[in-house]
Amino acid sequence: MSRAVLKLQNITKIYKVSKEVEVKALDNVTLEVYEGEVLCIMGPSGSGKSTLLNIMGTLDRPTSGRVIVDGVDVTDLNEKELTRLRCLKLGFVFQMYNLISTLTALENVMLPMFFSGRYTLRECKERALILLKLVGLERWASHRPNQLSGGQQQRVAIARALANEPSVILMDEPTGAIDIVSAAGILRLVKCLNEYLGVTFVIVTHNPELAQIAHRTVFIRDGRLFYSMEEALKLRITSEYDYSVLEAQLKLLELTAKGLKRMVEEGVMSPQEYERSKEDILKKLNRIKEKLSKSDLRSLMKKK
Amino acid sequence: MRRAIGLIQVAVLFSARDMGTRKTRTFLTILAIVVSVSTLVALRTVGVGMHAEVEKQLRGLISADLILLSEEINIPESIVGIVKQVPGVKSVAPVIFITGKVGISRCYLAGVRMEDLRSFFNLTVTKGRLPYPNETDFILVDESIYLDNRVFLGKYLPVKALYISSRVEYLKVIGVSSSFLGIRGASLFSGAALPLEKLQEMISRKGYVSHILVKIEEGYSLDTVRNELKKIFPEANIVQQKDIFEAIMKVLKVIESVLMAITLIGLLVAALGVMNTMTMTAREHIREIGIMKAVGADSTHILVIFLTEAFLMSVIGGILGIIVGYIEAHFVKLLLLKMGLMMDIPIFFVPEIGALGLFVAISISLLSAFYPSWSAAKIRPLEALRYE
Repeated sequence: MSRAVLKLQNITKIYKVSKEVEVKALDNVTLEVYEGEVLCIMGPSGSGKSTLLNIMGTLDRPTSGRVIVDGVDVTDLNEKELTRLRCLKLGFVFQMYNLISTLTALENVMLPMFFSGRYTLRECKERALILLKLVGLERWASHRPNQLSGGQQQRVAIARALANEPSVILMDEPTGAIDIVSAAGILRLVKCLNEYLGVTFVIVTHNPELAQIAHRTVFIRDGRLFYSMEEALKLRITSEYDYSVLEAQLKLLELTAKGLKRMVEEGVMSPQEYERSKEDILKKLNRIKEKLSKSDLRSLMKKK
Repeated sequence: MRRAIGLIQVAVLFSARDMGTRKTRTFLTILAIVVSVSTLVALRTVGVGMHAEVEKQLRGLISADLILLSEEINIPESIVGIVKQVPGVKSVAPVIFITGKVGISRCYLAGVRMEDLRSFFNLTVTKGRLPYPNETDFILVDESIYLDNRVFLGKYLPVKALYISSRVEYLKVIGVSSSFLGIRGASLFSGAALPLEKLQEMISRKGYVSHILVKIEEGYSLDTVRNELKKIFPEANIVQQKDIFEAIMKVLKVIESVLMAITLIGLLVAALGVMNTMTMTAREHIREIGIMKAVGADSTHILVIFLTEAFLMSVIGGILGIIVGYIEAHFVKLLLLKMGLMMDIPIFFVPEIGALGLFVAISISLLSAFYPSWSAAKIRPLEALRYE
């Protein structure tokens, strides 16, 4: 097996929402990204996949655990060192492209090279043009982001991510904001870059189509990492809520009925209208009755 | 080194684009800088011109080394003879110096003995002539009285001493003099000279004067002569012209400080303007800061980028401000003339003032942009990327 370019060891991330409330976004996640692979991380919204990607990209720090990039533990680096690391080792592609609106496509691609300080202006320009050619946007070099389609903007973003030849490119929902045809184009581009140039990609998505181009797919659910879909789906959905929902519904119906009665007494509502509304309420009551006929709920109800 | 150059290139590119995209905001900020810098430049230019003019007038004056003076016209003319006897005194001129009106112009009236005009005051005329011996009903005026009254040489103008007498005398304008008798040290205001006797007659103070001007023989010290005079006239108020110069310069300093204070308020407004803009700019760019930090920009990069924008605006505003200020100075001069300052202030471009204007513009912009830029630079990339 090839070497791991990015390693997460026992990563846990806890967000403190307030003094009492804590959210565990990641729970003891261990993951390795190998050189030359396309790794897909799938999971529904709120599962912690963006947090995972941000920690991989050193944009966020884990509460515990280690992040290792190219064999170097970067967990405790300071902000300046992390900036340098991001500049040279990591490429980012975001869902909303995140291009700088006042700069042209070419200048956007030049930006990371500028910041790296490795190249002269002329070299930056030359490299940026080649990169734009690579993603098929050579002709659009002097266009601003708002003059480009979503798919084109995402290609510019990919070219920008490639600028300093990073060890790995991290993509957050790269096709999330673009149409199907453009998305297919982006996927082809990723596949091509991976196959021909050996670029390593980590793609976070909830779009299962992306998994087609991945060598490996992992699943994340409720902050925990699973290596297969079946495992991930083992999280059962319980019916603990049912009773309280029914109770609330009963209370609401009672208040509605009271209101209707008053309105008909005061003459604000016609009796016909009242009858219709009453039927509605009765229908809803029947539904509750049906639910209650299930034995387990009935016993629950008795307990209360 | 290459990194620094690269950074500045990015910063200039980014700032120029940003300024171009947000034209109204950029325009208003530059306008604030222009207004304040131009105020500074205009007021300083007028101040320097005024200073120069006053100095020139002071230098151009026929210097009386010592002046015996009184607030009222109660010095007997006859003491001239006594003063002349004092060792070291070269020449003496008794004069009356009061405020008055010539035609429509308010000005100083100087009552002067005919013989003193040439010998003591060395008065020369730019138009017309000096009086003939024994000529009595004449008046010599300065340029501004001459122009204001649209009078011709040889015509008569009504002359009146203010506050003392209501008598009006019609006197013939025979000449125009550019410099005037600086009797109270300097004639910052318009002046006219007429025969001493005529003025005494007009105000019914025959035989009395308000000032006695004294010139000193070379080789004698001012103080010796002064002490000698003090001995003879213990009650007299004797001043040196030097003291008067200093007093005038002090007044000028006060005027200049008031002008400076006004300028400072202008500068403060500009500083707040720039700060406001830079805070808005930083806020508008928070997402972009996040992007730049994600692709490898550190806090220094961000700081430099924002300060560059402030710098560019301040340079543009500063240069425009200097030009506008120079033009404004002419208007200030006209305004002062309209308000009654009878003085032709020369307006000339002073490179130091230009440099000061530019320096102030740049430093104020950078100072007021620093805090917003710094707080923008410090923001964590993730927070910035989440910012909507």
